[in-house]
Amino acid sequence: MSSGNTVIKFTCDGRLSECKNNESGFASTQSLAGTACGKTVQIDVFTKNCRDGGWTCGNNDMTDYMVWYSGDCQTVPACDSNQLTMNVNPNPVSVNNSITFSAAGSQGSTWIGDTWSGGVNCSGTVWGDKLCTANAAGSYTWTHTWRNCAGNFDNCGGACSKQMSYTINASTVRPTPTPTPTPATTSSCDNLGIVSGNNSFVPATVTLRVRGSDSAGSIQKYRFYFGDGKTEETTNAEIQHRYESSGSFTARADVLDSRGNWKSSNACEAGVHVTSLPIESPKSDCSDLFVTSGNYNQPPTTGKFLVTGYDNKGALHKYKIDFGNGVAKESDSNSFEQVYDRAGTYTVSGFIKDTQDNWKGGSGSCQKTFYVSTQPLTSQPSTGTPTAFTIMAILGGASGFAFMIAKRLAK
Amino acid sequence: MKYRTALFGIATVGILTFFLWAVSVLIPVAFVELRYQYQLMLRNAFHVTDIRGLILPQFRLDLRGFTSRHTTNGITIPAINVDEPVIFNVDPNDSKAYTSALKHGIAHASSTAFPGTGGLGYYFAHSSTPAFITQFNAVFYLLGKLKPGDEVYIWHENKRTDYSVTRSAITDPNDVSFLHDMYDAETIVLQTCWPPGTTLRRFLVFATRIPKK
Repeated sequence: MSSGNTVIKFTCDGRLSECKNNESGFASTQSLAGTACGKTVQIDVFTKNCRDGGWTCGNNDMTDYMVWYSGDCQTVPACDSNQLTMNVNPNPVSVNNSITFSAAGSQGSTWIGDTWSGGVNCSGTVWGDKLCTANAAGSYTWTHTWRNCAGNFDNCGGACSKQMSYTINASTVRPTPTPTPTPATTSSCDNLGIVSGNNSFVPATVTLRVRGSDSAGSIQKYRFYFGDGKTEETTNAEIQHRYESSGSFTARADVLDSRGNWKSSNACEAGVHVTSLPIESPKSDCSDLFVTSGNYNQPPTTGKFLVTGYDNKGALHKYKIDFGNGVAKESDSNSFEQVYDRAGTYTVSGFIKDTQDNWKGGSGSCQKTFYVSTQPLTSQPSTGTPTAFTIMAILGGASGFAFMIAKRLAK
Repeated sequence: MKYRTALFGIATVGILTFFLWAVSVLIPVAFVELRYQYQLMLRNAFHVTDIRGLILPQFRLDLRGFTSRHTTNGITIPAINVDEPVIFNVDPNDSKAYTSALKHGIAHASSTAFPGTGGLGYYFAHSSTPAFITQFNAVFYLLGKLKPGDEVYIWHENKRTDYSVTRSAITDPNDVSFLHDMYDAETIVLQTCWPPGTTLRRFLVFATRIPKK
């Protein structure tokens, strides 16, 4: 067996003349711990005849082989506190009341810990939400610390941190109510964060958390698009999803507000990366086609579309979209725009070109209907039998039958 | 003699017109009415919506959308046994376009709201038509039998939105003032011609969105 100088293991169960039964004395191994990324090791398995007549092993004697790849060397993302959302609710809070600290975002492959400068009974690490109790009035600071990794947890950067201040009022102090105008009802999808599992090895279980707001009530449902073609609706803001393929995925989420309207935004988009394993068959597909704006408007309207897909063997080569109006565009970017001049119903199809240069998509979740409205209703459509026809039929029938009866009676 | 022949001819044309009208309008409407009365009787007497439900439990389900056939784009009104496809984004100002759409189901008026987007959605279908079509001839003939509280389910792109009937109105064909009214919640209007067999007036049923449970 050969190993490219990295892994060596000799084993023999062959002929006594060449090697003794269970030639364990020959066996040797070399640890792969600490192997740098980007290294490939091939372990070849030869027949026992290989040694018969000397070391003349050739391809014909090889029965099997296994390839092990130590993984890509990826750049560790720099600390970016803008990619991490921290929230304290309520803020300010009164002594002896509960206070929730929550953190979410695309930063933080590993979260190191949290510290509070005082005023609360809190310890440990904030994963999603952490419920604490306020115990002393004052102004304090919460510090959240994390580390970004790429590829695997041996490839991590330095510690990053972000701070947020919070205020605790004495329990006797009540804020003076100030009259505020009633705000217009608004709701939105505000953020989609990756809580855990990003950059894990395939199959990876990734936890996503979405945050939405609704001034008229509470968010009723969440719809997650995981970027691998799968979608799920749930009443929980946090969801776990198992990715069966490695690659980079564009996850998105929509929220259903208290009035029953689905809200989406570009803030509710996050990039999920799943690290590949040594042996993984090629997998690629178009995941979703999103209509990000322009739907249901009157002409001329600009439709904006987003095509997402994945490929576990590398970056997608190109994106293509058929706008359904006879126009198709190809681009390196996955965002597209098209102006529709005429009212109608258009079937829009998105495609991705994978690393094997195959176009995929155009159906299922990569096909959407885009509606361009006509002019408003000027009069209500006619949905009955013309009145004249009904009157003519009744009068004509009545007189005809009367004539026929009269004719018979006259005979 | 000539006078009698002419009279005979006119009488024959009159009877033929009546037969045409009876076949294309009266019989389909009578069929819808009879089916409604039959199912009403089943519902009131045996609490089933299908005669097979007297023997087989799987047919004892009340029609609450579980048995809807058109769950991609469709409408179900259990109270009047409507379960038909919907053609969305039909131009209500173009009679050629909407007449063609009405041969395939119930039309949703373009420029009005889609389900789940807020605003007012407008859906229309025949109360009767002389077009010699059978399947969608008198789809909305029974709209007049809807009462406040009756439920309407609309599917758009495989997603269901539920509405509850609040009121009805009879308007002139040119009266579109209801489009500009303010509504507290997402509302739909179901429209058909009234009285059945004419195009004199428009019968409107208003239903508001039922919040998701």
